[in-house]
Amino acid sequence: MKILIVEDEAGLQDMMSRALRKEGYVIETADDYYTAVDKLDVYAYDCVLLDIMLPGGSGLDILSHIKEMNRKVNVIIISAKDSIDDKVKGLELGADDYLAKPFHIAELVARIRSVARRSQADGDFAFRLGNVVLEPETNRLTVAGKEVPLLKKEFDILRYFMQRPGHLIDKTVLAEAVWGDHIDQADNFQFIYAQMKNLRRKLAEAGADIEIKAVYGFGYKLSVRES
Amino acid sequence: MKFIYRIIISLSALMLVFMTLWGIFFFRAMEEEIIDETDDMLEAYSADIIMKWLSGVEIPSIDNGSNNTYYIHKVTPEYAASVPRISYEDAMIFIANKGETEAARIRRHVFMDEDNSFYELTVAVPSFERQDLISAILKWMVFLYFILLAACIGITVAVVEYNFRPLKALVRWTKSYIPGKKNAPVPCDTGIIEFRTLAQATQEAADRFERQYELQNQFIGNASHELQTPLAVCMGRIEMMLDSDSLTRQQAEDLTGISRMLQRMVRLNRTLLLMTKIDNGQFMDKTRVDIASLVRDSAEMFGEIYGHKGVKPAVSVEAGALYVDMNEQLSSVLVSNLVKNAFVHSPSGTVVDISVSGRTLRVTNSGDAPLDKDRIFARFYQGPGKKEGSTGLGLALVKSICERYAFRLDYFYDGRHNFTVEF
Repeated sequence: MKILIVEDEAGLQDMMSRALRKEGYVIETADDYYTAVDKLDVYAYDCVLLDIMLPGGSGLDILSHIKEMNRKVNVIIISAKDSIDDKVKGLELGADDYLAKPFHIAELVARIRSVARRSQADGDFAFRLGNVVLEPETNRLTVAGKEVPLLKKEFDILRYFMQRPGHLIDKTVLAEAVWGDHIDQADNFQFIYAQMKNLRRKLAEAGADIEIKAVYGFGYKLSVRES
Repeated sequence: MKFIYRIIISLSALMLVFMTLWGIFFFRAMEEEIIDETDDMLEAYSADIIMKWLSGVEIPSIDNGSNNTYYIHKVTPEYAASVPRISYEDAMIFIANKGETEAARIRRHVFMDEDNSFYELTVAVPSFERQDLISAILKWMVFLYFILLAACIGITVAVVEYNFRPLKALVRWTKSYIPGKKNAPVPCDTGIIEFRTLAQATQEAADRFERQYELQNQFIGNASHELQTPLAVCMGRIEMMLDSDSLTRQQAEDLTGISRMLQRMVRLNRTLLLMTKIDNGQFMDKTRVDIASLVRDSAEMFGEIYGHKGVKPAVSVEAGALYVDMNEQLSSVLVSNLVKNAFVHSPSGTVVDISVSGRTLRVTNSGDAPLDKDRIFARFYQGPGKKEGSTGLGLALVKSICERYAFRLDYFYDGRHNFTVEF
């Protein structure tokens, strides 16, 4: 999958391209409006990560340009301005997603995947890993074809991991993602342990070949069990 | 107290003192004048009678239609020598033509006939006429006093109200002034130099304040904004490092520590940006929000998160729902921050009471000592129980939102901490 990163901040651009290359994507970069438009005119990309404030013009204009060319490209807006207005405008112009800076790399990867999945797999939004299938639309989890009932928080946790397989997830990040913004790092994470314990037990009992491993006591990682 | 009431009270008080003094003086003078007049009249009357008596002309009949009375007695020379020749007194006297005794002004005049015998002439005029006159004067004076007072106050009020219109306009403007909002220019429609100066000074102060407010907001907004990208880079790089398999446990732990600190910065930054946006009025859209249902959700969530501390929520909603027209995102920030604050600062094993009654939301939690009411809503203020990792912005955010919508936010301590918001 080929991705164009349009971002004028060199550090961020470099970090994003390195991280995404590691995920196996082909990355090209543009650091101003004109380079971006030139590249988009000449090459075809599967996904464009678009910053809004660029030297030479606005990312929103690039977005209009893409849509005028009628190219089938997924666009994720990445903006420092976490404003509803920009978000609405971007999505109205045809962007597929909107990510506010600063973001977690894992989050970016998950967004790219889900955008790609939406455009490729016709109507199949399920996450698949090993013998586990998680359908976010219907809140269903099946292991080896058999449905496993999960509580809401357990499902949210598992979905978060399924979007980021193989990544180390800090438990504070997980807590924030699942329980919302209101978690402070000073808080005790007892409530996560309880949920994790139940989730792991349910996965093991259903015979799933994926597992959520605790890493060094401060994070977790989802991986396929080696048989 | 309103300026005009103060004027009315001062005026009435001063008028009362001065008018009373004037009234007493005036009344005394009048009374004296009347007595004087009566005495003059009695003197003329007695002179007339004596003259007639001495010249042997027929003296007027007592019953001459007037109320005047006279008597002539023969007196001994010893008596004549012992009393003054002419004397006045107020006394009871028998009025012959009326056949009754009445209070009267009496003049006694001792004179000597041509045959050297002494006579005393007593002329009297009943004093009821004089009393009538005096009481009429008194009545009119009191009446006039009140008329004068009313007129004085009326005129003063009219003059003050009329001339103080520019001041009133200025006061109205000051009341309606909201920092950071679009405010009308200071009203300056007057020719009075003092008021013009005041209005101009106010306008200048408001402009200066507006500029500084704007700058401050811009600064916070820009600073937070500019931090976003570097923060994203740092976080991303750390995450990449954490994903690498060659890390030792110690390195991973250190990196996670850095990452958590970074996230705290991100959170701080985000909250500051949110506050700037609220203060700039960037949350215009309104929907009908049910505060009660937000309260239930928050209570449930924080009950779960703080379950390990043994802090439990107790929610009571009087009417089942409380609908408020406001921005949805802000309503949720408002409620969750208030509820969260109570949970965070509750000692373990206690209950957080959250109640919605009428249009008031009240969150109560246990605590040993009252907090500093003036400071708890300030940015970055942390009470005595400072919490590691807390931003110190939660209640400041609540305050910003309440100010934005003119909700009444209050704190009081009655053995427990009480936070109330009146929608």
